[in-house]
Parts: sequence; structure tokens; C-alpha cells
Amino acid sequence: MTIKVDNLSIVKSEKTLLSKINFEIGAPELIGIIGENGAGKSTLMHCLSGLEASKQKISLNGRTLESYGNQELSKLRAVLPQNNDLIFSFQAREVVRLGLSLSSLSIEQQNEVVNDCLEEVDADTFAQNNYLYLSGGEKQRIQLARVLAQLYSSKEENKYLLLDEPTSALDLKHQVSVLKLLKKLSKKRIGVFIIIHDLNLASLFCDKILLLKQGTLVSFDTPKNIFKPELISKTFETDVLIMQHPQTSSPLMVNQIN
Amino acid sequence: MNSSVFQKQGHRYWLLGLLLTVVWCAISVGAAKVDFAFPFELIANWFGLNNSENYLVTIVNNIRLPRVVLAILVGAILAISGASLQGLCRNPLADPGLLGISSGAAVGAVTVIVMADKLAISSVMQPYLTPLAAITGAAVATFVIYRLAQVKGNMQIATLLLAGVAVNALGGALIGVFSYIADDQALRMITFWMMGSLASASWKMLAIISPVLIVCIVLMLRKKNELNLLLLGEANARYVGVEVDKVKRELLWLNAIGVGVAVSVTGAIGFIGLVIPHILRLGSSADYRFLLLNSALLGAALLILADVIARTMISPAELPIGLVTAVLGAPFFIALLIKQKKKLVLGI
Repeated sequence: MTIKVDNLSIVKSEKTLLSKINFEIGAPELIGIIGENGAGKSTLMHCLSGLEASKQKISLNGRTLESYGNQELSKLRAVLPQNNDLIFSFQAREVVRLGLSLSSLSIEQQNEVVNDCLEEVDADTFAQNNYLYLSGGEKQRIQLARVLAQLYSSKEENKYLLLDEPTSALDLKHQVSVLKLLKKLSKKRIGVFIIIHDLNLASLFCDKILLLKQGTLVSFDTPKNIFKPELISKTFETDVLIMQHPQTSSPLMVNQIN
Repeated sequence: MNSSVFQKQGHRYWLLGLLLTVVWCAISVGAAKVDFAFPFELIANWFGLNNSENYLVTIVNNIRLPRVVLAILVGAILAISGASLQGLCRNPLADPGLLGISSGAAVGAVTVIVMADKLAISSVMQPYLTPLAAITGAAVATFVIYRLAQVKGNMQIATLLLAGVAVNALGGALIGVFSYIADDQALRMITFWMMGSLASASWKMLAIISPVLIVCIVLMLRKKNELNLLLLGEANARYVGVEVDKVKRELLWLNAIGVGVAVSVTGAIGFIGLVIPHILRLGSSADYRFLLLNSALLGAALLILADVIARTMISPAELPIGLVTAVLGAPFFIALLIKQKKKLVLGI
């Protein structure tokens, strides 16, 4: 899977949301998108989904996203936005099945995919419950299972996942298990982009980091090169201390309290 | 693990059973007394097994049966329209009434009723012109709300609902004006028409409207997966591969045509579109794979039942069917809202 973003700018209502973004990804990796609030992370993700007007600036496997039809794109990438509310009662496993709604799989094959995805996000225990009554974290895992199901149902190669803060409501155990799962997917040649505010998790699991500030790309590099005190303090406008993880020696950040 | 899916599919057989039972009752109950075994005689007569010149067979064949068929089609289209609009707008209160589609149809029909004399429309043409005007009214209302809700090429659902409220208000005002200038006879017709009736049912009329309503129902049933995905929000539906704007456009026009045709022959019948999908969501499933067909079946059954009550309650006179559905529907809906308040089932 290759993705090339070429001089991408988005201006809406005279406000620049993204300005001259350039980067290239040559192989499926777990890529973290980080930055302050309003830095343009979700806008960039929307552009990468192929549904933003800027699609001629982004190419996937050598073809511009514009040249892909909506249905063709839905077989190549799945997207998990921040808000995924339902207004009517659905059984949790049926929400996962929604990811397969337009697939040509038989009911048996669908059940198999749904069960696999539920297991992967550790949601089989509440799969029969009403989605509306689940906790925030449980809902988030069900929605993640839904986008996984969408991607698994496609036989295409060069697939990728776009996840907007998929760990924001998760507990410690599930934050780690979800990131391990995403890492595993990237090793299976599925590219993963993840917007994440927990910089330590990003440092521990991501292969590369896209660091955004006010719509511009500050840096696109490995966590070791991104998580430097000066760069992070300047980007987030708060002083941080950088330490090393005792097991992996990857950078760990804590706020500096004056 | 998947028993629940089969259980929900099973509900459609129960609903089909209910529909057949209600049809049986509707054939057997009425001013002309027949016994409950009569439908057997009727079926035998259709297949030429029994050629008795029973006048009751003629009555049922030509009066009761067309009403039953009309009730099935209109009940089904109103309920399925309500269900699809609720999904399309992601709003539990959406129905053809709320979006102004029924109101547009009403304005069209009332215009013809009141202006018939003034425009020198012959009494022969009026029965044909009223439905045509109602369909035009529904289409105009849909076009107006559709255009108002289009913002930079995308349909804004919040604006669509507000536009519906505005069109409804305008429709109400226009009907008010027409009622004010109408003579006694026209006013009586308007009042009766605004409360609905299946009394105009005939095989001749059914031959014209059935194909349109059946096509609308079938095409709406085919949108079950897209409606399910729209429940996740438009962005999510797009990400999974739904051509959202095309689906929205198609569903709106199917609603306009279906509801316009239905309202044109039966008048305004409320509560079916609003209440039936909610009964099924609470009792069966909110999953559109089941909900659309189940709505059509239950909507049909309920409208037949309402018609039986309407024509037998003060027989030989008839109650307007819109009154019956409102009297049955309103308390039920209030009970539903109280239950919802306690359980927050609908999450609004």
C-alpha cells in the first residue's frame, strides 16, 4: 500500500484548515496523527478517506483518490469517525454486522467475520446486549469491530484503516490491546492511521508520527525523532519532560509542573 | 447465537398471520351480515367451484374487497414511508405528515374541491382531478423542502425537518383560506377529506393506483441496508459505500409519489406512519432488514382494522378513518413516550 499526499491545502469559510501538506507512505505501517486541538487532524483523516473535495491531491497505489468510486473505496479503506451515535435500539453484534451491509457475503460468512471481529476487540461478552445501553468504551470497541468487519469482508489488497481517537474512551487494558491489534494489522499489510492524544501510547506503538500544528505538517518521522522536548513543548505550547520506557526505551512524556 | 435474527424473521410470519386474520374479519363484518365461514364461499366462487348467485358475494366482491385491498396498500405505504423517513432523517418523529408531504397533497386536493365551481370543472372530471392535484401538491411540497434542504450540494437533514415544519404551516394556512371561501357543500367535503375515508375504493381506481403503490413499496423495501447504514450517520454510511445523496433523493421521491397517491384516494390518515415503526422497534427490531417489511404488514393490518371500526361503529353511517387511527394511535403514542422516557429506548 502506498499513499502520497501532494501539496494538500483545505480552506473552508476563509479559514485554512490544512496548508501545503506533503508526505508519502511506502508500506503499510501504524501511523499516529498527533497535534493540538484544531490542528487539522480530523480534516486530514477525512481527506485520506477520499470523500473530501481535495482528493486529487492524494494518491493511493499510484492512482488519485478521485479516480476511485465510493463503493470501490469502501472495499479498500474503512473509517472510524469520532461520533458514531445510533438513535434506535440495536443489538451490539448487529451494529458490527452493519459494516457488512453492502458486502456480498452469505449470512454464515457474515457471522464468522462478526464473531472474529468481536473477539478481536474483546467484546464477545456483551455482543448480545443493546448497543444504546453500553458504556462509552464498550461502544467504541463495537464500532471498531464494525470497521474491522468492513475491511475484513473485502478481498482487496493494499487496504488501510483510518481511526479518529479510537482509544479515547478505553480503559488501560483495552487501550493497549487495541493498539496491539492495530500493530498486528499493520504487520499483515493493512495500513493504519490513528489520531491519538495519548502521546505515550503513540510513542510505544506507532511506527511513524505525523505531527500537525495549525493546519501545517511540523514533522513526519519516527517516534524517537518526534518526541523531543523542544519539538513537543513548542508544538503543544506546554513544557514536557521526556524519559525512557524501562522495557522498550521508547520516549515517555510527562508534563513539567512549574 | 443468532437465534435472535431468526426470531425477528419469525415476527414477519406472525404479522402476516395477523394481516390475514384482519382481512378475514373485514370480509365477514359489515352492514350486510355474513357468517365467518363466508370467505370460504367467496374463494370457492372466485375459482368457479360455486356459481350460486348469492348477492352477498357481489357485495363483498365489489364493495368490501376493494376497501380491504386499498387499506392494505395505503396502510403499507404510509407505515413504510414513516419508517424510511425516520431512518433518512435520523429522527424518531419524522413521517410524511411532519415533512409536509401529506400537507402538500391536502392543499392540492382541497384546491380542486373548492375551486371546482369557480373554474367550471365538470363533476365528471372532479374525481380524477382531485387525486392528480393531490399528487402534484405532494410533489411540489417535496420539491420545495428538498431544494430548501440542499446546501452546497448536500442535503441538510435539520434544514429538511425545519422546511417540513414551514411547508406544513403554509399548507395549513392555505387550507384555512380555502375552508373560509368554500361553500357549505365544499366545506363538508374538505372536512370529510381531511379526516380520511376508504369509501372511494373500487376495482377501477385500484387498477390505476395499485401498480404505483406496489412499485413504491418494493423500491423502498430494497433500501433496507442503506437505511440501516444511514442510522450510523451520513458520514459513516458514505464510508461503508452508500451513495448517500442518491439514496436520499430516491427515498424522498418514492415517499412523495407513494404518499401523494395514497392521500389522494383516502384523504389524510394520520398516525400510521409515525406509530407503526415505533411499535415494531419496541416489540421486534429497529433493524431495517426486518422493520420495513414488518411496518408494511402491520400498517396494512391496522388500517384494515381501523376501517372495520369506522364502517361498523355507527353503521349504516361511517366514521372518518383518520379519526379512528388518531383515536387508536394518539393514546398509544403517549403511552409509548412515557415508556420511552423511562427507558430512554430511542435516545432522544
